[in-house]
Amino acid sequence: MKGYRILIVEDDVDIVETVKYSLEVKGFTVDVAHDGLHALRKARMEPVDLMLLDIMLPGKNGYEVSRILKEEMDQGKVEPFPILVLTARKVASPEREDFLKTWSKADEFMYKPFDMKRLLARIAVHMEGSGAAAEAGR
Amino acid sequence: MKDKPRRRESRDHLAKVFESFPEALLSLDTGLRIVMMNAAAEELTGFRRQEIARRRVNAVIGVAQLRYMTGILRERGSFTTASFITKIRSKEGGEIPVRLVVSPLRRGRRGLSGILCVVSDLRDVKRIQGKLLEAERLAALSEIAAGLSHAINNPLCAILGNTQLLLMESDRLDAGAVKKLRSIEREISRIQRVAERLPRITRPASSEYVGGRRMLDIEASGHARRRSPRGRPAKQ
Repeated sequence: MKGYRILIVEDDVDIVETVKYSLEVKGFTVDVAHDGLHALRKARMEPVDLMLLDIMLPGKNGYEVSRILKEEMDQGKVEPFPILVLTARKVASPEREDFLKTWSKADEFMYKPFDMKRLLARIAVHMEGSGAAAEAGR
Repeated sequence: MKDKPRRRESRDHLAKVFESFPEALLSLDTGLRIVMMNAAAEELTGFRRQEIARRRVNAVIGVAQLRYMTGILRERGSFTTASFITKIRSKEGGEIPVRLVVSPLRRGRRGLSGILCVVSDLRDVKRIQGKLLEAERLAALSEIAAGLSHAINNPLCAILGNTQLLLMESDRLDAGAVKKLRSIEREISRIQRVAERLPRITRPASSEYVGGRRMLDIEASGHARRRSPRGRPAKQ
């Protein structure tokens, strides 16, 4: 897994520790941002292979962070990488939630609490072809 | 001599206005006995006019707040009009919510010949009010449920993650510890299901809790169908 960098964007320290440990065990290099603006800075400064993104964040929320980065990827300002959103489902209206999902341009949404094995499997799917997939899903 | 036909014509016209008025009208004498009622009043109360003519209004339709009418009788000459929400009894015995406007019927400058009652049916208004209240209650519940679900799911995520991390190393744990961790994992899934169902409640149902208090019955409540991540309804 060496060389594959995952950026966790999450303000809940306990969730960060749990996910970070699971990924490091699998050999990923893990970086962390605790708010939206910090996440944008980190993603622009260093290449990222995948981002795990929370929605309810201080500064900019996850929907905004995802949309900004995906637009910058389209413009060639940032190297493309998949964004996997991890949300605790705050939006009461399913219609609004659907709209925000499309608007954010994120690659996938997973709901908390998520199964750790499933998370690793989904990360593997998004990294398919990169050589990290098989090992991450194991 | 020409006055008589004109007066008759006016009286006939007034009788037609009274009869055709879209709201229920009742005219009472000073003893609060029903003298006249129009077609709308018959339709509203279910009584035919010959059934209740000359009977006291409260004995027939049971107007709950007679004090406004007796007030008009007491204050002869002040000619105040009162409007209030009350209930009347129909012929079938059912209660009908109404707005009642009571107004004195003048005789001369200071005289009083009776009271005119305009009775507006409020059943549709009450029905709409009930629906609006229910919608507001549901919106508030949905908001609380979404917040609660969010507040539960974040810590649950850390608990479940750590439990599963320990289970990944189950070969280094004894059988009893693994059993307990599996139990924690199962119970987390239970809480997760409750948190997931809460914001989708569309028809809240309640059941009795300890001490006679009511509590939200999540299982018995109606839920909107769960949506898949792409927005399509998913299998329950």
